[in-house]
Amino acid sequence: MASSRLNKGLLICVLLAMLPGCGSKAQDQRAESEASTQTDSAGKSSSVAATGIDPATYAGRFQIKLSKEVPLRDIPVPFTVYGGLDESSSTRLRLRAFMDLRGLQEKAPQILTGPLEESCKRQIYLEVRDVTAIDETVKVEGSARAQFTRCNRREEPGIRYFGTTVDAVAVARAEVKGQCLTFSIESVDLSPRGFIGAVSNLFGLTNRINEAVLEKGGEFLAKHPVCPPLPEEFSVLDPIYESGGTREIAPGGMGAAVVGSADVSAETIVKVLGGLKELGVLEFAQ
Amino acid sequence: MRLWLIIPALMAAVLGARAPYAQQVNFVIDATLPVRETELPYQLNLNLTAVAPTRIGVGALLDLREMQKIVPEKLADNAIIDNCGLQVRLDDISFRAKDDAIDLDGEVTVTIFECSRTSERDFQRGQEKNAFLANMSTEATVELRDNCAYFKLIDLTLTAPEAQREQVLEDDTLESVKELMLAAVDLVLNETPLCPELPAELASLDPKYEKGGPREIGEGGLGIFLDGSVDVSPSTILDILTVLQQQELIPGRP
Repeated sequence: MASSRLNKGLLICVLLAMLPGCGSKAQDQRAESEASTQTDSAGKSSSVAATGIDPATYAGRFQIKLSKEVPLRDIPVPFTVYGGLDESSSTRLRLRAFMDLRGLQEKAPQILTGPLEESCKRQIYLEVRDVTAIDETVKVEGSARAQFTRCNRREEPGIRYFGTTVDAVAVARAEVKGQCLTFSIESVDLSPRGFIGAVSNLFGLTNRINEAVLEKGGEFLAKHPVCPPLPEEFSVLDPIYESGGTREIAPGGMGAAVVGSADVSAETIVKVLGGLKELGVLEFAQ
Repeated sequence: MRLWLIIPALMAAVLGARAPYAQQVNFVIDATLPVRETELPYQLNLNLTAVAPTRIGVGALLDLREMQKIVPEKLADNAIIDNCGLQVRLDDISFRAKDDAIDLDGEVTVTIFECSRTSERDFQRGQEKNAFLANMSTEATVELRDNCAYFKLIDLTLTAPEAQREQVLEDDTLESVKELMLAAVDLVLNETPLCPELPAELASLDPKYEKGGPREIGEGGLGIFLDGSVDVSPSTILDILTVLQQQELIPGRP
């Protein structure tokens, strides 16, 4: 019932998360250093299945795999979610989920390419070339075409006084807030092209593009957290997601891992049964 | 003063209205009762309510109204007792629930034959001596044993028509017919307990019933209630989900 809404929400959010398609080389170095210091070895265990996903990320007595294709801007995007549930105490369930976002990653350039800002002062158009997961961050590579114009009396773009295209690399990171992943831009790095680029650097215009991307992209992300498209069977448990974020499915593949828990009492079980009945899977009469 | 009363009243209304909604769920389950070569359909209305942190109260109402229609048809014209000297045929029978009891009314044809002994073990039915129609009325109740509901006849009253009453009384026929009928019916009823079985999906909720009895559904409709409870834990949920997965009602394992 709420799942398709949930899924769409997630997808849109993931996309938005990647929108700030602008970054830097320095950024790459930072991401690499993070990768080397990363301590989460669970994701690198030797039992990685053929999918490249570590089964430990969705361990549990009950496991479920969900594959769904969700259209985003009319482009069908395949999603696969792996979930695991286990009894962690006499009143609690532990929940682990891993979302394979490689389908989204592949379609992301197609989906994300488009205008980022269209005001009368400036128009910034993003072209996303590539999305890569690096450890726990997401790198988006592309270019930004910026035009600076004067606003005319009707608040429309008037005389263009400057235009340039810059190569952009952005790095985003996801944080678990409540039940959702909230993406934030860690950094944006722009490399202006050619002579005009050098000039624009001189006038500090690169910085202004940078700010625009950070500001607009950041706004986007803060407004659109990624609420995991978990199986409905999980949602009815009303779990609390405690930690998680994007993970690299080596090499460079994008995924997201979430860990949470749910209190289980007689009341929860009755509620879950009610939820499953609502989903139409508990029907015993004609 | 009155305003003060409104607040707790509103709170009670809000909480009272919300709690049962959040804490209980109902299932309607099609079930059958196997009786000899046939199966009788009934409906199981299951109400689950959280009654304690780790306990779910289970209220089962067995709706037997369909059986109530079918059974008299199946029983009609059957001989309940058929031995050398006596035959009792059920001509007509009807059940009716009344509050917390079940009323049975019917007519039986009692036929008495000559019966002569032909050898150590064999008897031979001879000529018909007497035949009469008797009205039968009895009350049944339901007993709970081993998590199953058993029907039980409380008593049986047979009344012969006025014209034949004297002769029947003289022969003490009705009394022996009654005894035989009670024994025969009890035998049948003991063989056919109603043990409500939950569908596989809910099998991990294995309730222990503590009390049960007849219950009238609507106007005269035959029903049986069973009340009990089941202890639950987080693994109850895992069990239910696992069964749903095995039945391919929800997506499968990775």
